Amino acid sequence: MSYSLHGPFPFDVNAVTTSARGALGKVNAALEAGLGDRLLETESYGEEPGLYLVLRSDGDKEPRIAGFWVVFGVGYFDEGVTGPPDRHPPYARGLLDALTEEVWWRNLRVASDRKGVFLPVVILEWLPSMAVRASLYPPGVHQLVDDEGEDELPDEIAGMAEFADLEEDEGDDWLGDQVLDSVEDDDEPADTEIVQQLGEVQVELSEDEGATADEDVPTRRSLMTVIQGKLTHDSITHHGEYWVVMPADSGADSHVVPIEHWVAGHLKRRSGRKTKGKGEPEDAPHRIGPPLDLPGERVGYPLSGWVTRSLGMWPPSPANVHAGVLTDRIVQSRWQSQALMGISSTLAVFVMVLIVSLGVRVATVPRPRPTAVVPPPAAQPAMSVCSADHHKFVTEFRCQVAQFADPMGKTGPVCSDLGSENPVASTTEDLRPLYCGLLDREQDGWLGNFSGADAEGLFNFAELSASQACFNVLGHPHPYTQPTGYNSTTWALADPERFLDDPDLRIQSLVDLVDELEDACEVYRTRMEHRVEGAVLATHVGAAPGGAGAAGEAAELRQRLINGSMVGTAEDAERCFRVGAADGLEVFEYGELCGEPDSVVERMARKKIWMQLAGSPIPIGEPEGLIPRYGRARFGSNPSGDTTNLWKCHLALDGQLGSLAAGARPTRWDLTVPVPDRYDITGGQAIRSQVVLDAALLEFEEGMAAGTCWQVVDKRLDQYATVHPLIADLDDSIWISTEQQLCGQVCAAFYQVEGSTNAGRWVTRDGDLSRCISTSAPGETPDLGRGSLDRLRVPWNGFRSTGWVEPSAAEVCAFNLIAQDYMPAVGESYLVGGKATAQWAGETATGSRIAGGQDGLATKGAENMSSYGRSRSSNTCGYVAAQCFTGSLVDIIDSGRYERYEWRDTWMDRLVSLANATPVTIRNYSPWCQLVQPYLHPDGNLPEGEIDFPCASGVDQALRNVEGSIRILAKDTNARGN
Amino acid sequence: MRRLVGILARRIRDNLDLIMLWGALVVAQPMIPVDHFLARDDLTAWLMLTLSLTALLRARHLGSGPHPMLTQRRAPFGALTRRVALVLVPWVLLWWYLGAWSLAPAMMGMGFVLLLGVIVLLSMGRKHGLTAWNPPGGSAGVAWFVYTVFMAAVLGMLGWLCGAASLPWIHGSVLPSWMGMAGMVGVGFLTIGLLAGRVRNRRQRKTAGRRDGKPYRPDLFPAALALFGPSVGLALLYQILGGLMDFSQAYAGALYVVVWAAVLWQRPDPIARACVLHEVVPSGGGDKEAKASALGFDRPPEGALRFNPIRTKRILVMHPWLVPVRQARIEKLDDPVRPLWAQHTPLMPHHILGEACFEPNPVTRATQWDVLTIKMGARTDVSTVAAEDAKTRRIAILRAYPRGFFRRRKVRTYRWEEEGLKESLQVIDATTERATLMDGDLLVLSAEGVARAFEVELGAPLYSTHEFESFRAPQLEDYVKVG
Repeated sequence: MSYSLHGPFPFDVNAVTTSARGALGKVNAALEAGLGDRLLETESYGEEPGLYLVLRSDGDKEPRIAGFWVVFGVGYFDEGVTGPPDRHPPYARGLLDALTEEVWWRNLRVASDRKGVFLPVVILEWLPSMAVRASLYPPGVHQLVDDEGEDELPDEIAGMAEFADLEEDEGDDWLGDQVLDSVEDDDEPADTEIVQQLGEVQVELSEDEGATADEDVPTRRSLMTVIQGKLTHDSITHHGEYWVVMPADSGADSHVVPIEHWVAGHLKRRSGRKTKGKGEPEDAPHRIGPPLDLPGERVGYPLSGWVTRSLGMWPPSPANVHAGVLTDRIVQSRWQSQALMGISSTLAVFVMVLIVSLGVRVATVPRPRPTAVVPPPAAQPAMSVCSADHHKFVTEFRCQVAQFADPMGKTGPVCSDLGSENPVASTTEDLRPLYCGLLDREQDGWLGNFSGADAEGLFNFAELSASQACFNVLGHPHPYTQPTGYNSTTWALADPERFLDDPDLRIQSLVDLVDELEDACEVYRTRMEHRVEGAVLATHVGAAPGGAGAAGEAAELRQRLINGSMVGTAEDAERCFRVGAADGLEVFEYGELCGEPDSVVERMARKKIWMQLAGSPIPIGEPEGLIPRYGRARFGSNPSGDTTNLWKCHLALDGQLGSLAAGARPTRWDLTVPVPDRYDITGGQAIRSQVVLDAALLEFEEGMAAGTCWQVVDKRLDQYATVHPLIADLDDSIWISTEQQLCGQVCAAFYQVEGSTNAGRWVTRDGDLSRCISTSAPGETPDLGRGSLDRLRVPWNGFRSTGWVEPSAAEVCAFNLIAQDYMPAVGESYLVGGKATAQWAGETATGSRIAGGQDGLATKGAENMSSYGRSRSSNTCGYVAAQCFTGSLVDIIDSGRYERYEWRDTWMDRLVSLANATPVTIRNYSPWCQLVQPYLHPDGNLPEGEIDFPCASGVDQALRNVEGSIRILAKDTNARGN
Repeated sequence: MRRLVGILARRIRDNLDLIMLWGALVVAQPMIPVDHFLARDDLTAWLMLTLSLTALLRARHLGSGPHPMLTQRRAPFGALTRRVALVLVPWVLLWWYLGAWSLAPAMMGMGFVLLLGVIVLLSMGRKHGLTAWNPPGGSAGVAWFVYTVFMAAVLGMLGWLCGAASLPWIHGSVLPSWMGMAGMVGVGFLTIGLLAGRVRNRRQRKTAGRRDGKPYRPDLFPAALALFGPSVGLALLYQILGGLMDFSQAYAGALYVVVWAAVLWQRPDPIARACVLHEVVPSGGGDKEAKASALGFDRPPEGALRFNPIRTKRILVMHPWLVPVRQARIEKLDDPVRPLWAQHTPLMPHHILGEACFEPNPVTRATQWDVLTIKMGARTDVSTVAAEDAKTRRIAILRAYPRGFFRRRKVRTYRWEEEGLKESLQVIDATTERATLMDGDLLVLSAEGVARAFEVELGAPLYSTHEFESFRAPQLEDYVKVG
């Protein structure tokens, strides 16, 4: 690989690109013409100022353009670079732009080793005659001396600029002098010319101050700046950049290096833009590289900057040398860019059209704006259903409804049916319940079957009536006639399926009419069922409000049950239910079905056909209620009972379905459940006691049946939680019966001896207590507790002389609370002597498990104390005193006037009163206390030393036991210490 | 994103004439009576009207044109007649199409009458754009005759298939009307583009050959793009609109034609732009008369200390200046035709300010001629320190309304030196490498305490080398004799 120069060509420093393009055109034309060898033969030495092209030859191949070589002459003093502010290597941009403009990759034969990449070299040379005067001169030469031997020629160097001005002034054409287009004609070397213009100067080799005088190095020594360019292009853009090839400081090394070797060693494919100048200290001085062997017996020293027109070095430091960049050029083919533009423009139009279309659509969508409230339009004077004469249709429709709902049913042509001999009988009655009854027949599986056999002839009666009315009004058109069934030439039935469902034949106005009526009937049927259900519940449970005592409790029980069962029910349904429970089923107008008319009623009142069915009833005699008429239309004159439980119950209570085993049914705890046989919302046949209700509901849970109505009530009361037993589960393994346990819990809870978690929901306290208490004297036959509730009783309550004194409920409960061990004890036992309560109470008969027998210690003690000569031990008196004192305590609690902390004092006061009372007074209400009254002293002292001291001691011990029990109860704890 | 916005802005600016034309058509559309001929639902008439108007504005040849080294004749009247002929071409095509569509000989006859008019107008304008060299080759008359017959047949067939033709197994017309509409637009663009050129130009290029020595290859792509690009796109647009494209959507069709006119008939980039430096002096020239009341602190002082770039007055001295436009594309790459003789590249005059040209937009990389770039290199006019002389020359460029000026917030009290001054003032000193000039900028040169100001006016762009070479180059003394 060798390099050669071809030139010189004119080089205008103010039109670098033009100069370069001219040179490139000439050389490239020669290369294309196959004159490469001629070019090599006419190789130039580059000693004349001007522009040269560097050609590279690789062996025998044709030479190719490798770069530019610019040799500056005298014109450089005028037009050369001045220095600041440029940091980019001079002239390279214009030269490389020329390569780009000439399309180097297509039109020029360039020395490109890789497709799309060209690394041209640009060399700027200052000839020896200029170099020796430069501030950084080649090594080994004395800088400049004049004839007098003085160092430097400051005047000449400093006056370079003025020299340029002088030339400018003298020339006629300021531009013409800058074009060095006549250098080829000059005989004298440019060096000589420069020397002549600058004066007599000598170039001497010297050995002073570091300069190396090497005889192998030619004396003609130039300065040069080597610039490397990098031109690349892809399918779209052409890029270009260039930078100064920084020489390493050669120091004292003066070996001449062939320029082609040096250049080849410094060419870089990688971009030099980012690397040039980096790492160089800001104040680093410029340096000179090794001597490069140039053609024409001279050497050139590469610089780390460039020489200005005043022969100074620029930039100030190698670190200030910047890399340059060419303007990016678009090399994409025109058709590609035009096609892309066409595609992008088309897409833009599409997007714009879509946006505009969407915008127009959005903008033109009508948006309702609030306006003044328009009053609802007045009702139409008439509807046009099936006939232009609407009245005719309505009359026929009413007739058909009345006929279909007749208890006898429709058995032949009526109204305007084909073959009817009877004219339409006008009726003014309210046909709405009849129509709704006809409509709801389908819920009971009752469909009109006029064919007699074919299931296809089953139609809803209401739809049949509407279709038949339309059919008759239209004049009995054949296409609407039922294809099968009870048709004949004298009586044709309409086919509701064709009138209402057939997509081709149906009459939409009739469909709308039927739908409208169905909607109304659906609404009112729901309301009606809730009202009926309320009446059924009231018939079975509780009592009407207004009573006192047990009746008041029953009324409250009913109210609580209704409240509990209405949780989660719709508001209007609840209202209907409550009205039914309170007022029963007596209603004559749909609007009053649930009390006062509401918005639903108002909405229904706007339905034209609904109101036309209402007609204008003329009151004749006692009007028939709405619900009975509905029931008659729905269930006919002889109800089969194939309907819902609610309506079955209704029919039963209405007396249409026969008795549902009315009377009473035995249930749990030997109680009985009443089964009403008629509506009685006063509660005459209803359960009034919670203990009975609980017994019934618990038995229903276990499968007991008490009729359809109780099923309805039980379902409605599924939210109700039973309260009995009040305190604890009943235990069938102990000596006392479960029924006595149940009643004992009633006593304990009633008199606050024992707390109950169900107390808050226990409503019928008095009723339950009275049901659990028996105050009658024991009969001759011992009570074995068979077939009825084992009620609580006392075994003794009267002397033989005076007879049976009816005990109070408190005394009965007191006896049984002691018997069932509910009274809290301070010591081991509540009783004196530590006897078991079962022994104290005894049984009515052996194995009866009913407390209160004659063999009980309490009864024996009372009989002993009532007779002389009987044993009156301390225990005997204590047993009797326990009943007396407990009875007094329970009576105090029963009064409800005292707080717990007052119980003891009140009780003590009562004992004092008892001690001071006369025996006759006491005998009439408390025989038990009469027995112990002699042993009570107002001062509380025992009659020590007397003969009855043991009995008095027993009484006193019983008093202490009861007093201790009161203290426990006053602490609001139950008898079992819980 | 900046590049995209830049490209979009450039396209809008270059095609303002077409955009305004479309706007006028949109405005005119509702005024057309529904029973008018132009309001046909197949849009052929409206699209041909649009094409005709775009041809009036932009029609130019589709190919490369004459050899670039040949100078074209200028004949103003000929240019007018040729332009009118091109405007009539869409109507010729439309009458042919409609004549075949309805099998109406009168309409086809109308088309031939118009064709005759086109031929007459073209012959009247044959001198315009004519170049001297006429190498031997194929006859232009034969070429045009064959093309005319072919196009008449194609349009006749298209119209017949879309209109009158019927086949027993097809309900309605054989081809849908939108195919005729799309085909008409493509044929219209192609025909106008071809008529705007000359057969002679092709002979010139064929004879000259290519720069790389290869034979001339006709550039078929522009013709193919003109024929199929608008047609295919219009058909797609019809489908996008759901086949409901009738006269109410005529604005969309017109927009499409206008856009494709911008694609096919692009404006050429100028090679230079004529500029003028007007010498100006400050209007008023001195301190204003003191007012009776003191000015508020929010009012900047006025007078000799300040130079207001919008308060200047031109004197009758002006300096023409031709600034080259550096092309983003490379001419020899785009048109590699062999030069007819040794090419002389005109010398670019050196300007006292430095190397001035319109550089391509660095963001869009496209050619631009609105911002003039001066490379401030190799000059002595800024500051020169000679041996015994120190001259201080200062150049400043004032821009009254820099970019973003109107978006800036109002300056509050005590802020005389508005932030805008930073962008409004370019001070060219010894370290300045580049400066930019825009239309209306003020160039202030001061030397030794005396200043002269020049207002930059960017003039008309130049498109031909002939104009460029005949321009009077600026003289050095036009600028440097300051003070």
